[in-house]
Amino acid sequence: MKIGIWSKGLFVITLVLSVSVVINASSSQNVQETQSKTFITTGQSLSRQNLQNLFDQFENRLQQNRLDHEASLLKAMLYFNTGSEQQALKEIDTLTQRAPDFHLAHLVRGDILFSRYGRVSDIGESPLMQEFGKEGIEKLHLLRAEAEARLKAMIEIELGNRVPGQLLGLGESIETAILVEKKYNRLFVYSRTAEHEPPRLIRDYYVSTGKKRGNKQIRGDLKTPEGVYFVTSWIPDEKLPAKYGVGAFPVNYPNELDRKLGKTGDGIWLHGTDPGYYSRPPLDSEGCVVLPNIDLSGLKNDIVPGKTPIIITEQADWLDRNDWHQQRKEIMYTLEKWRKDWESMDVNRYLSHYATDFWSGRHTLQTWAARKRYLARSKTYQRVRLSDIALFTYPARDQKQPVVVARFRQQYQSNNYNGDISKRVYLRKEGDDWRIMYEGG
Amino acid sequence: MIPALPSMADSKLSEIEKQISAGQYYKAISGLDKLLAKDPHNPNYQFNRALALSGSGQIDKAIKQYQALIKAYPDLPESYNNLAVIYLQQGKKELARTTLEKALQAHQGYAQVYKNLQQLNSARARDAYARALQIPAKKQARGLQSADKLVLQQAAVASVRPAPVVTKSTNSVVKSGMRYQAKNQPADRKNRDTEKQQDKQTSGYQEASQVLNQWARAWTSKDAEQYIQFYSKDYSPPEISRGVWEQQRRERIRKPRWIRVKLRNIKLHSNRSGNLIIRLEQEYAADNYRDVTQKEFIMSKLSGEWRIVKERGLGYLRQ
Repeated sequence: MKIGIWSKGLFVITLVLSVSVVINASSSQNVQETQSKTFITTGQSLSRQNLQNLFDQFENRLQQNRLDHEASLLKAMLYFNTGSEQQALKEIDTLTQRAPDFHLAHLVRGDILFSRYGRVSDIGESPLMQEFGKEGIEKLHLLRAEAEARLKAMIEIELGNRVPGQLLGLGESIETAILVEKKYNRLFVYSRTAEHEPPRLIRDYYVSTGKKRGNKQIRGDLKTPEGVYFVTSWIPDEKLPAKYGVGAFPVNYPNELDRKLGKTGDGIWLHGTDPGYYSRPPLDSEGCVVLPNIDLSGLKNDIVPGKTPIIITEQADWLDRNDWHQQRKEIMYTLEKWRKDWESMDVNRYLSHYATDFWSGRHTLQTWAARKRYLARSKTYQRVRLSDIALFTYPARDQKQPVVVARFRQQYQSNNYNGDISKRVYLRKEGDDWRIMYEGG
Repeated sequence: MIPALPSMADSKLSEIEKQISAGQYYKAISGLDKLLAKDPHNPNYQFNRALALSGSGQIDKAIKQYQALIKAYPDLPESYNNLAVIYLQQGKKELARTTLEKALQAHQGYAQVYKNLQQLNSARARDAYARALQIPAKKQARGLQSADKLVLQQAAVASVRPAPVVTKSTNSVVKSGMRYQAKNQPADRKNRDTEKQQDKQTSGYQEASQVLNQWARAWTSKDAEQYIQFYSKDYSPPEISRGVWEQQRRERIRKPRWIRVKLRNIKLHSNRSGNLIIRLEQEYAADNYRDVTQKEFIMSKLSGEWRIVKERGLGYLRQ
């Protein structure tokens, strides 16, 4: 006799465990039975240990941040799905009071309440739903998609010690980097650690992305672009229509590579949520990345316009630390060799680092080479110093070969010219070597 | 469980019950006060006093009476039930719910409580869904109605008849396939289908007895047209034509100045074709006539509604 359990659908769990189930309509009756249960779902299995880990994880999150509404929701759902209806209700009651605009929480609350006298086989799968008409069913599907995205991220993303290959180093001046994994509707916030060491995951959030799946190509295709981007500015609430919530961080889509590839469109922002809504469905924007207001506000101080990278990818490359170090070493070695060859005054050696389809502003490799050869004639010496090197691996979607974006400080000294600039270089792996495909200030 | 109620040749009590159902609450209260002076702990007197108090609009006093009754007789679910009805009328949904849960604790086999709890939970679930979807439920009005105080009160009145026989009868209605009990059984997958059937049956029993109560009410309120509505279209009375029967019923219902009908000892069985066979005692009283008869009804669910397809007398119990 189980009530208080979704028997199918979202929980990607095949789980056999012993549970005590309160089977009564009355809280005080406590008629308990212990039996073996199978939660019929699809996919991955969750052991009892995993289950305990999940509860611990939610508990931790809530201890760190009492207003982590997602942790509270997932905790309630997990309670409900394991038959602890009373605890589930208690958790969800608290949540709906704290976050009255969290519509998914209300839906789950409805299920828990309904389960006291009827069966709810899936989220919102209750006969009462018929009373809300066609519009209700449409909204239900959106809420269910949100639940699915949140649950999927919870169950499938198991990072352990792994680190994202997208972030191969934050240099010395970037404190925070943002990684968006579209597949899981998830935004990860990483923080710089010791030099040469992988950044540390601080928090991750549920985000909504473009209505259409896939990589943005043209204006109006409702897709979220994939690439290495940087936040360009901050637009506060007052200067925006209400639907952007507490504010917006525009990003530099289309970037150099996007433009080269002929991609169009603009106005890709990281922004908040309409007042009256805690969150939005997973695929809901016109290409922007949308965070709940409470999360965007929490992130706001960590994002520095002009500095903070935001790497958007369908799926991140999760690497173990050795592989991360290996990949980083390769790029650092290439940059160092390029720097040395530049200093060496041997223009051919220097130019050997450039790809045949290289571009920089209006330069092609031919014009670039000609200019470098011309400049070299007047040099008696040159010193190049690279510092504050940040490395971001490009999402592998458009490119056949791996591409890394390096952003660093370049101090140049010579007999007739000195410069100190921030540089962005795109490197592409060709065979065993990395070649520069783009260079810009 | 239910304490042995003092058996009483209680013509006075049944007199008072009649007064209550006739709306003569103050008369009933003063009668009960006299009875309680002699027998202050009598639960039936206290219960009827609470009914009369709430009927007369003295809600606070009624609440106190029910609370006293609960304190003295914590095992009687009806007091909790009616108290919950009052709380709900006052808009105290949460208090109504916890009170109903206490009623379940007091007695697990009282279907009305279970049904009311369901209704309350259903209303809460519906509210939660409405907030989730930001759409008002289409049936919201009906949803609110579902915690219907009249039905509750009526059921409560019917359930506490003083005679022990009648107390049993309530149980017999209740027990015949209680959902609650079904839920309480050890989890046996094989039982699932039976359980579903039982669920269906229980709700059928409840619906049918509700329809009979409405039938009696239509009769009591001398609403002949509505009374006739409770008979299926192909109901054919014994020995006379349908037309003549309708004519006769209209006259006989209109003629008396007042009519009281009470149904008790309701027993329901379902037959193979899904019809319900109901036997009950019918106490009829009018200004010009009274009797108590044993009756049998056959009811059938026709386009979603339980209707009488057959009715016959099985003899007089009292005349």
